[in-house]
Amino acid sequence: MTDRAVAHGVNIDHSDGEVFDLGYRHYEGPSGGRVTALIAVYMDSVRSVLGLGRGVSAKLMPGIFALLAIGPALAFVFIAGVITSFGGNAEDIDPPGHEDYFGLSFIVMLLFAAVVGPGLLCSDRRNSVLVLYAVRPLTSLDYSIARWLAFFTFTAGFTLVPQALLYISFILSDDSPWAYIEDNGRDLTAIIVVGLILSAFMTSLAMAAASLTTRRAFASAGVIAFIFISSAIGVFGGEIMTSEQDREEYWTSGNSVDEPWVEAPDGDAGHYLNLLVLPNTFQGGVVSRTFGSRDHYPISPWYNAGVIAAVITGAVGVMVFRYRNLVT
Amino acid sequence: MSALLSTVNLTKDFGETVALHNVTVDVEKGTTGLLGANGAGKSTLMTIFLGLVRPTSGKITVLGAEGGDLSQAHRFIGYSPEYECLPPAVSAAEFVTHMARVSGLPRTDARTRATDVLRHVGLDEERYRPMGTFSTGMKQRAKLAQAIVHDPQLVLLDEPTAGLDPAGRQEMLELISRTGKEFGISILISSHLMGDIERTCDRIIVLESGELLEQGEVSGYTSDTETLVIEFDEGTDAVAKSLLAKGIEVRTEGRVLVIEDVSDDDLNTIRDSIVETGAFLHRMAPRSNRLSDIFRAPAS
Repeated sequence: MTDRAVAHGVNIDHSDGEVFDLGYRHYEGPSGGRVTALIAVYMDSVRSVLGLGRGVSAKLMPGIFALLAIGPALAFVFIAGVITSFGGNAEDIDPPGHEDYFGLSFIVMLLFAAVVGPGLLCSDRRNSVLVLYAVRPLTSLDYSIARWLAFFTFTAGFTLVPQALLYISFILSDDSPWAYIEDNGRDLTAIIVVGLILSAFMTSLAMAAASLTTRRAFASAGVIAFIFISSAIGVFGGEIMTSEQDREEYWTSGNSVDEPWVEAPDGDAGHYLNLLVLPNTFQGGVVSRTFGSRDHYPISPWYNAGVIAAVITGAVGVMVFRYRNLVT
Repeated sequence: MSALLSTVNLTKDFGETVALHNVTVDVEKGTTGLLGANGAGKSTLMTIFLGLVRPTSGKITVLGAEGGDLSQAHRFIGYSPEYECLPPAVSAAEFVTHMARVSGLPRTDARTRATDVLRHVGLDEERYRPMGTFSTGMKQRAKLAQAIVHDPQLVLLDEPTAGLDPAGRQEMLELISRTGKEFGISILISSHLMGDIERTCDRIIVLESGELLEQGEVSGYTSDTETLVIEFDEGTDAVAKSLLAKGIEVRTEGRVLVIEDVSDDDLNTIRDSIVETGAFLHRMAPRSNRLSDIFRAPAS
């Protein structure tokens, strides 16, 4: 008997303890619709990427990619902070610029999209879970949106957070922080625009590849293969098409100089084929153009933006088409 | 009683294959068994009710909603498919909570409901284990838990005893009976096992090769007949002779006498003959119909 029970004169005999089963109770609380369901799938996707509720190995991956994506920026901020605090100049260590860091982000996000992204879609299809979503107040489009947005949250976070750290670091290490903000205000907009484009690009690529197979490994290989194969076509095709000798051969083999593919509006066909080298197209066209660091382009940078937009649109299209019905 | 689910002249074909042909059925409150051999069209009918497959022709009503858009009806329906549909790396608690959230329940309520429902299906102790480590029986229970976590009016269970051993089957059938009677959730259960349906269901729908064979109360198909069955330990032939001599038609099946259309007067005569011949009576009872008789008799 507890002291409290004794103090209140209550006689409790613990040997007669009894568990009362209230039995099945009907649910009478609030019940949401599609939006609640969409948020639930979104949150589940976030937990899935973070490996929450899963084994240790599942938790390891997001940590590794977070370190790869944000670690270099954090390291620079730390070193710059140390140098500045000892009266030195942070610029002496030749810090990476925003553009350079997007080059690194492209590679890290490509790996992240290939390794982690497919897990969001492949496992549901492989384990036949989709039918359970299909009999709930959730449409196939809601499901696709929720999964896409969840992965986009991570790619955007991993892309924008290090850029924000760099930006803040540049401001703080500058002799005149306000002057830096005034002079480099455009950078902030460029960071957000390019960051969101890169995130959408990688997210869409990962989701499209994952929507085509139930095997995560195949989807991972598909993401990497897409970049490598398109780049190979771009490099070799571009090389052939821009070679004077080969161009001569091409024309003399019966093709007209007026062939639009050969005589494109702004230059050689090779330049257009080079657009398929997606890392360069992104870095050279989208990043440099947005940050305004390059004046000369062999062709209009809008072509670069167009190719990236086409890849995003195509990949989203593939995903939406594959998920037009949750159960087929 | 208004039907929870109904179809009128429902037909579904997959190209050349006709899965359902002119099926008109009603599923009322209570537990209804969908009986038929493999390929009879049970799963197809269920998926049409769930809106997963569109019928080729005919009319369908689900909880008062007619035809195409069943998104509102989905709030009040639960479904457990025949095949495995559980992510192996996720715990039952996490998965059932998630399914409750997708069904529209707020976070806290979803968690509470998942815990309650997992206790009701007997997975209280194992709820934090990854479902990949579950036995077949536990997986069937987890599937049932996710199907009822949002407290539906109606739950559709496709072959819920598939892959279970006799003891597991018995436990699952008891759980389904509790779900229907104690929890007050109407159930449509599909099975090709007549025993399962006979034990758990109030009504049955029998499909054969995509066509409706029978539908009605289970009791109507398992009721006693006018046929009397008398089993003896000794003296079967003597009783048979005695009864024939008294004008009662008797059929002998080993130690069993079968007498059709027995009247009250016949019962007195039978009793007297047993006493007169000194036969050792083992059992005397009216013969009951069995669900299997449906498949032997021509369709009504």
